[in-house]
Amino acid sequence: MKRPKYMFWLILFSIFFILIFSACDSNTSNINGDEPIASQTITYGGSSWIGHLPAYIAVEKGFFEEQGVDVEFMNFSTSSERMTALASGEIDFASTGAISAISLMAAGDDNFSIFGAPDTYIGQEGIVAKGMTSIEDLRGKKVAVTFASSSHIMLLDIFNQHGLVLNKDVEIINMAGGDIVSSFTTGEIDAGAIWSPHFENLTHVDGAVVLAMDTDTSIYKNYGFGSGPDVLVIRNEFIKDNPNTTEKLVKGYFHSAHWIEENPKEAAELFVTLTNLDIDEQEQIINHVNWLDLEQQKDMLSENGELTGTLEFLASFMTENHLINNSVDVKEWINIDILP
Amino acid sequence: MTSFHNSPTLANQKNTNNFPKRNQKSPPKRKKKKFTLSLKIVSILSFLSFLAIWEIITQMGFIPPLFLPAPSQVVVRGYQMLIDGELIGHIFSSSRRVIVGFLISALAAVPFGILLGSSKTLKAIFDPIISIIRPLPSMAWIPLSLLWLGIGEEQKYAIVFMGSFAPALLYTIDATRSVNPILIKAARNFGASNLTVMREVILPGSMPSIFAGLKVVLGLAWTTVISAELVAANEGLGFLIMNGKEYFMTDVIILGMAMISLTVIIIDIVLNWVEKKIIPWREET
Repeated sequence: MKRPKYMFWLILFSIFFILIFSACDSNTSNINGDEPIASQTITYGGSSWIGHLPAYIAVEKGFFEEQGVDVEFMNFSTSSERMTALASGEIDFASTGAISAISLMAAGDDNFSIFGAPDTYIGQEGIVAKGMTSIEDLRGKKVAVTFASSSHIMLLDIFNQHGLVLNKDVEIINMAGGDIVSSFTTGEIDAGAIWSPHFENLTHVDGAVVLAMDTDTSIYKNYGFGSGPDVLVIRNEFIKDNPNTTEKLVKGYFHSAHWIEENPKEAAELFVTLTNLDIDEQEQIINHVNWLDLEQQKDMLSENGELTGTLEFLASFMTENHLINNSVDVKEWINIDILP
Repeated sequence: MTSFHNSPTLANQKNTNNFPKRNQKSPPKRKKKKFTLSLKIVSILSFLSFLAIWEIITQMGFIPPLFLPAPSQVVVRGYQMLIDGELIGHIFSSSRRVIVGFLISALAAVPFGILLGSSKTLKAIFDPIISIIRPLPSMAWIPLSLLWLGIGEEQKYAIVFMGSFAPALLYTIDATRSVNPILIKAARNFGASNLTVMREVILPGSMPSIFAGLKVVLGLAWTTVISAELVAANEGLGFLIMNGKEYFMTDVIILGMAMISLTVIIIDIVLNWVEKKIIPWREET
């Protein structure tokens, strides 16, 4: 018997719809993450940036294990990749640059919370040039920076202060940290704006001069934070499904931050395996960072806390500079109830 | 020499075998035209249905906009960026990089490929080098290209060139080798010199396949421009996509992707027109 022609189309559309709906279903379960995962490995999103030191040390020294939680440290090269992994449920918690967190808020993702900050750092990033003495000397020059990073915000802020207009007075090029160092060395770029450990590498280049530091930004002057402070983020569904594990995780994390303050040398020895820096230089960087303890978190993230103010300032700055399209109320993402 | 002027048609006999048989009845032209038109309508309807299903699924909230924005959202974003003049700048930058990189690779690959396709000795000499270069993705050339050429436009052209040279070369070698050897032999029997055989038999015979290959390579060149714009770029569709990724602007990412497809379609139409003009015998095959 000959099959009617419409059967083919019916089967084709059925397959298409099944595929679409199964994709939606798998997405939703990823986002919701509604399976109890306390007995499974919890994934932390990190990198070689100094802000990940507490989590790295907590894994290496077994501080999470002491709390009865198994945490895996997963490396991501950028904050946006880390936040994408958080949004898709691939990782459970992370420390990340506030720029990326605010960008994700602006994109409408309300499946995560900010519950703290690992550190306040100063002197960890800056603008480095050759043969110049001031920011004004950058007029007509080529400056490289990693877009959507704290250094990008720092550059915009400092240029605003000095009345320099991007891509009119100064040519801005988007480059990754390692590429900035190599291009600066070969003279392809006149200046670079970057964070540690690339910042230190940049200052080691012959004739390198630091034109500005993160301490020169209006964010630092007003709130005492760097231009893209690190924030601790966690998936809301993880908190909902694992309230006890969340508490243990937070305790283990801040125990590690406290340990770092007391043992910077040992922390440096462990962390150089990620950064490839000299141990003494690594120790210096660790000592420069102000590691925040559990008690400070609630104050900083309160209604009028410095970190809350910084995040609000950043969100407005990013909207005004057309980096994000929607204004966000960052307070809606702050959750200090999970802090023990 | 005039006897070889018709050789392109003959030269392609090996590839096609599509010649209508003498007694075969060809379908009435009107019926054929109607059929082609209805196929076009099916294509348009299929595309519109795809967009409609996508719009419905996203508007109904089955997929969050962060993961997949509605087509209407992408259109609105595209309109805004078009009004700002930003979108045109990105399209122009990428198109320039693709066209320059592609043209350089075609200019190098086609004559070289014809030579290698015509000479077994030359092919044996260069085969090992081609085999090494061929599987390398364009991204693998980024670190070296930065060191050799810096961060300017030349580096981006070089990435497109490296991504499209090997495929263009292979298509050309293949097209040259597929020319019917009987035709080459016949030309030689008529006393044609090597140069004449090349000009009158091999070139016209292989040109349709070379052109078809180059069209595929042009599509590949667009994939390489994304790699080229990953480093040290502040405009271009690759940059637009990567910057959209940094700020989680999924609508910008899809807009960038759609613009690449649209630009490739437009360039393809232009290439088809050029092909008809410079290789009219392709129509006959």
